[in-house]
Amino acid sequence: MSTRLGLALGLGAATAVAAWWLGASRIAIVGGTDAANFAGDTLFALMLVRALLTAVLAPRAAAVGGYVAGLRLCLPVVSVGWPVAALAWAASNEDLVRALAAELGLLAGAVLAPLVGRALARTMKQGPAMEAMATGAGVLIACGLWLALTGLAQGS
Amino acid sequence: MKSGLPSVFALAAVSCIVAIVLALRAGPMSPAAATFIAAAAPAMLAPLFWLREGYTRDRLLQSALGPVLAMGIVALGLRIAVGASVAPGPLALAGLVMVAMLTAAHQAAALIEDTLRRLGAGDSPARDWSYWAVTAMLWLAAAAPLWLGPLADLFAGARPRLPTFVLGSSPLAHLAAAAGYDILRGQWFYAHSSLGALQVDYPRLPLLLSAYIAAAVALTLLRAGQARLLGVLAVSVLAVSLAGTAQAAEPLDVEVIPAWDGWSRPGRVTEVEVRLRSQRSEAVEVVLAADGASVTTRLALDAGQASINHVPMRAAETITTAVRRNGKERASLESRLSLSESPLLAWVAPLPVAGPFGGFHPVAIEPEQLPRTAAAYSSIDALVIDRRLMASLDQQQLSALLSHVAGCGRTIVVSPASPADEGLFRAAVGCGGRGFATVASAGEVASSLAAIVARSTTTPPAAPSLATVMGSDLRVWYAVTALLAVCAAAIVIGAVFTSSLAAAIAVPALLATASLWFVQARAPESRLTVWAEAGVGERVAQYQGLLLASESRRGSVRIPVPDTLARPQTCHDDDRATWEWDAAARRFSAVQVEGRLFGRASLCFAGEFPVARAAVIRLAGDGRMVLSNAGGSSLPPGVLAWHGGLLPFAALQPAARVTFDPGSAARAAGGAQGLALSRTPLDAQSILWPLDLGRVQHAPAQSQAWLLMRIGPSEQG
Repeated sequence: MSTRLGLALGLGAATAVAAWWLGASRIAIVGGTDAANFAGDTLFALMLVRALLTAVLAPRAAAVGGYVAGLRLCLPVVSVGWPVAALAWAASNEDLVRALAAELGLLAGAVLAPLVGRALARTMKQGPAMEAMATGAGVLIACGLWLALTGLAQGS
Repeated sequence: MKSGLPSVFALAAVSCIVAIVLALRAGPMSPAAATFIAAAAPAMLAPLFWLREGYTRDRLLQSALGPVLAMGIVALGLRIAVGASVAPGPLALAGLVMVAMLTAAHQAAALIEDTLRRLGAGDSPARDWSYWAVTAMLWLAAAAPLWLGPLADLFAGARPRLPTFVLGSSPLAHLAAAAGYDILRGQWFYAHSSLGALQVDYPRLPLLLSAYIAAAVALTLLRAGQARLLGVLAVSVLAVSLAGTAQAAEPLDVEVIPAWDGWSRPGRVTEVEVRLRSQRSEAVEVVLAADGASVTTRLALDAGQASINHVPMRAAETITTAVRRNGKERASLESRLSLSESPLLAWVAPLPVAGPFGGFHPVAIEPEQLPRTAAAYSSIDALVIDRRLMASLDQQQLSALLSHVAGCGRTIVVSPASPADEGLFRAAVGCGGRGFATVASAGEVASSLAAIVARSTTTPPAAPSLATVMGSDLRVWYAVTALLAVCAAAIVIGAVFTSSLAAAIAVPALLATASLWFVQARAPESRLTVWAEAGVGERVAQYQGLLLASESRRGSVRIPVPDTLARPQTCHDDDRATWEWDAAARRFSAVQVEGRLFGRASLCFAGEFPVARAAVIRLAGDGRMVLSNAGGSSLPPGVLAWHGGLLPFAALQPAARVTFDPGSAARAAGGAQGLALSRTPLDAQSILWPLDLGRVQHAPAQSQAWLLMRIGPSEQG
């Protein structure tokens, strides 16, 4: 069930990003302007959304259902965005190595993030307090990631 | 209830930190912005902190009211940490909307949970699915102004209410409306959503609360299996909506002002300014009708605010304007135009009209009466404007005026202070300035106008502008959209059959690889347009060609260069290209450019070719025109452009003639015919012929070529 939930959540996020990209690209094509910048923004947005989603999902899922449950939820969230990421890369000026590194980073995040939940489950008793702590930790990790990634994007 | 307190305090603490981070990043905040953040942070995070236990009333109360407590703590935190003051009244209203929103969301989660359990899911997975589904829907809806912004922008012309609908579907916009915060004009949203540039209405608070309460009640009834009560609710909502519609009979002020002080010429295009003011926000349809032709436009009116719209349309003695709402006519009025048989001269100067102007009928107008659409300049045959008045024109007027000048429209600028300074016009003026003059005094206008009228204005349009003949090429866009839809469908189907983690990774990976191969393997799709023009009696036609290649491949793309077409070059100086020169044929055979998906390469051509066709045209006594073949070979079938209309004719043998009735003229049916009309002076005639590019090797399958030949009463013009 966790895998399917991860697929559904990842698909929702990827669909929203793809809808934005296709709409913006169509405006650029009709207007005769360059669509490459929109594709670059799409790659970044897709990475950011999947990173935030993974950060929010993983600690709680792992705290309640164990590390494997967290992994089964988070890996599909990352993988389901690959078709959009591949096409957006083809439409962008982004470097291939950089795009691949971002995907590898996301996969690593999906593998590591459930460890936070697992650590909480080991130190606290199962119950509403532990779930709230795990969720709070996930939101705060996501907040930190957002600050870091948007800061990096502005800096580069 | 006690078990939920950790969740509420965790929500409050996390929301507080998130809100403070947002506030610190945003910089100085208005009270409305702080109020919005204090409400939005806990509202969006609340479903994550809902208790994972069976449905009870306590759980519902806690899920809906707990975030309000968190909101209060966040407001306090913002005040202490960043000194942002929160307005208590709007905060209370936002809290009310939050309770209604979260109640509806909670009931939706409970319904999904029950449904999944009935389908055989266990307690824990059903709860997880319901919570995450509702959270995902809430977040997707909240972000709708971002990700649906470009689509709303694309279709706003056909459906003016679409941007308002997209904004109205966002819970963030609901909280913003309650908090009195203009979210679309906020720094972050304005930079990231295209909705900020569109006309939108914020949802009204009573409507929002009613909708959320109705949704919560409907979901509760649905969950309890109370179909009859649900029907009663649906009928009540319908009755309330109909009552709202019935109130629509409030006054609507309509004013219609034709351009050029109501002057135009038969068959020309003019502009109509339609001013509307309604006492309530509503969407209306305005239909302008004249001589069987009509123009329909949909407008969204804001309560009490004037909506001013400039609509170009074909001139007729009477223009009827009808304003409709939901198909019912709300207002109607007629405007009368004066159609002049003589050429019109528009006089826009604070000096008395200094005529006579050799057959021109002068019309004195104020600068603010100048039209906002370039097409409306077809109503006049010459324009005299005082340069000192240019500063008083708005952006649209200036843009339309420059288009008129660029399109070789006869224009005389009266510039007493510095007659040689053409200012803005210098860069815009078309046809080598043959239709343009600057004079120092009004007294010189007549002689200058006579000189302009005597000049011929024939030059082919620049090659890049031929893109308007082709229109947009969306084939690659449609292919990518279909490809992504197929990928989504394959992932969903795969998930139905297996929940294996390996498959969840392998299937998207395979789809990504296949998608990439699909776009990389596709050859660029090219289109070619050649446009040639010849003046009256000229034996050589000048042509411009434009080849547009829509790329789908990332990397080097090779585009074959059609032979025969002369002087190939990239249309933009900054385009990097590698040309292949065929030494034997002594011509460029191909060009390589760096391509990418949705990219576009353009090649421009220019040259001349001899024309053996000869035709003359003269007026018949009854207002009709007679076209004769004055050459030694037959003329192929073509279209005569005359007086803003098009008259097709069959092949003409040498010395044969054909008579045209102006009443049977048709409108432009395509980009080429439209360009032919715009390139034909109003007091002249041209023939448009399609040319065969069959002999041009490597011409793409989608190729078109046209010859526009000006004709006169004799071959010498």
